[in-house]
Amino acid sequence: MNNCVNFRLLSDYSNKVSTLDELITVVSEGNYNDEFVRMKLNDRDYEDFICGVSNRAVISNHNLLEIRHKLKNFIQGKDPTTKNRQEFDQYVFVNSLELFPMSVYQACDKKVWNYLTWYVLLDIVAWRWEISDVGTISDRYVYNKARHAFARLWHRRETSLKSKYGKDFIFTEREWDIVYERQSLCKNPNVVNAIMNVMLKYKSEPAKNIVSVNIERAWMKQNIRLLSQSTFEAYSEDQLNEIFSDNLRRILSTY
Amino acid sequence: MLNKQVVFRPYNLSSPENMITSFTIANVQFIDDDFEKDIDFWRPGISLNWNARVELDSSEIIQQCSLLKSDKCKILISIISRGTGRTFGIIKDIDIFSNEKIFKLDGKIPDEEVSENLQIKIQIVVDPDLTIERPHGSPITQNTIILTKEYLLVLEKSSAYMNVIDEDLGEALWKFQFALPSDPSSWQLLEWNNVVQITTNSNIQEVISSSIELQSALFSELIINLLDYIISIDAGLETIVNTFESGTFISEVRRFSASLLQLDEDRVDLILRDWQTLKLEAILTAQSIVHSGLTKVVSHE
Repeated sequence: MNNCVNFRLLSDYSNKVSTLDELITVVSEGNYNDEFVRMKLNDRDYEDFICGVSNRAVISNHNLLEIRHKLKNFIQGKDPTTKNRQEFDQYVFVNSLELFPMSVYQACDKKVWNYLTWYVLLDIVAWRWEISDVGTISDRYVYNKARHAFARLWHRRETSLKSKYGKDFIFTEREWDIVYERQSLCKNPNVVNAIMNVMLKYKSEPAKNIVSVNIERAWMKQNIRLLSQSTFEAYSEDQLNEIFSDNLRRILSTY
Repeated sequence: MLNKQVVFRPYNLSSPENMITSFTIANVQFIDDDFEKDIDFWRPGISLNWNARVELDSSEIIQQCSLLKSDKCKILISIISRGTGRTFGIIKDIDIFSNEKIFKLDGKIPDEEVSENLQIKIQIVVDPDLTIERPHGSPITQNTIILTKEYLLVLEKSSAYMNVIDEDLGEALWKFQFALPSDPSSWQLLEWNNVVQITTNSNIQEVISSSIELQSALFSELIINLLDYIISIDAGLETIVNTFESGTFISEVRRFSASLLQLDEDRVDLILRDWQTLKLEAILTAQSIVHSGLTKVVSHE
């Protein structure tokens, strides 16, 4: 990620409930468009602020509008059907590091994602995750690594590219959640990648449903049990692959 | 009569004194029983070089964990960043049965991959030979941890250091001197030491250092004077609001400005316009916040 841009100058407005309510109203009235975003961005030109502590180029209004246009073009003329939404996720996942060229440090900063969500891409997020209740907003609109509309895809992609098998990782939300909903597992990219790789292999066996709650829980319990006397860091990705695969085979044989 | 002290160790573990470690990261050195240290120059753009020296009392470890010659031992160093949730690790095979007692490892954490703090773990793990019968007390699972030393490096520390000197100030209690560069874009690199110098009156220095009330007054006045000074600089207040790098000085000024003045982007103009009025209220709030903070610190001691 040598071409990273410094996103850290984006500020977090999202802690003000009244502001967020206003933005949601603008979206629901259909007035959150390019013109509105441009106007918001012009309230402050980020290029004026030189970041003295990083070698990265600084994010500009132009960069932000470019991200918006790419995503907007993808959903142009498409109804928010389940299939279209899945395709959108797939597009963002595959292109996330290019769409949001940021470092891990920046990608773990809630300010960055919250700003992008609310001030640049809110209509796109609302297309993908309809604003139906408070839960959807706190899950998909406010930063968290496992569920945020874009951040979750960025982190999954960044981690999977560290694996030699990662380019084939195409999973459903439910399958990704098996790892990302368990924070102790996603600290080490080798662990995430080994679990996803085992799932990839077992996807070709439709007779066994790995994502059935019972199997998934039993499998993860087995995997985490490894930590009672050891640590994941002591294993290579291939060793973890083997262990997780054995654990799953053993569990599937009992169902 | 049995007169012997029995020390129980958790199964499979060796005594901590069998491993003497020294770990240096970005010129901060942890020696053996050290635990937590902080770094005052860390920035996300800095990559962190580290090196470790591990000295083992091999014969004791072999005896305590009933290791066999065909078991494989390794030194594992894991560095976990709390802020980014990222783990870095390095593993080195060692022959614990050889005469070699001292092992050295090094590595580098790339820039922009860590934040908040780093949990450093130096561990000895054993891959036991399971093809032969294991003696009692010996590890029986792959990569069993038999020894651990842990350190914590705080990157974004919560304490700040300021210069305080004593001088005869006559009737004055204290004096503040501020030195902020006129170009706000360079403020991100500053520490408190670069910006503030406090002079206390040497005649009452002892009273100041023992009185929470006087310290509260000193810090509150310092904060208000500093805000006064920042507001007098062109684009100073805007920089405080809009800069999000984690430099100690700027992030702390932003934090207390938010508490005292509800400073955010929408209120900058209002604060600049009404500063003289708002200041009176801010002094009272500052005294209350600082006083409760200092009381808490003292009561913890």
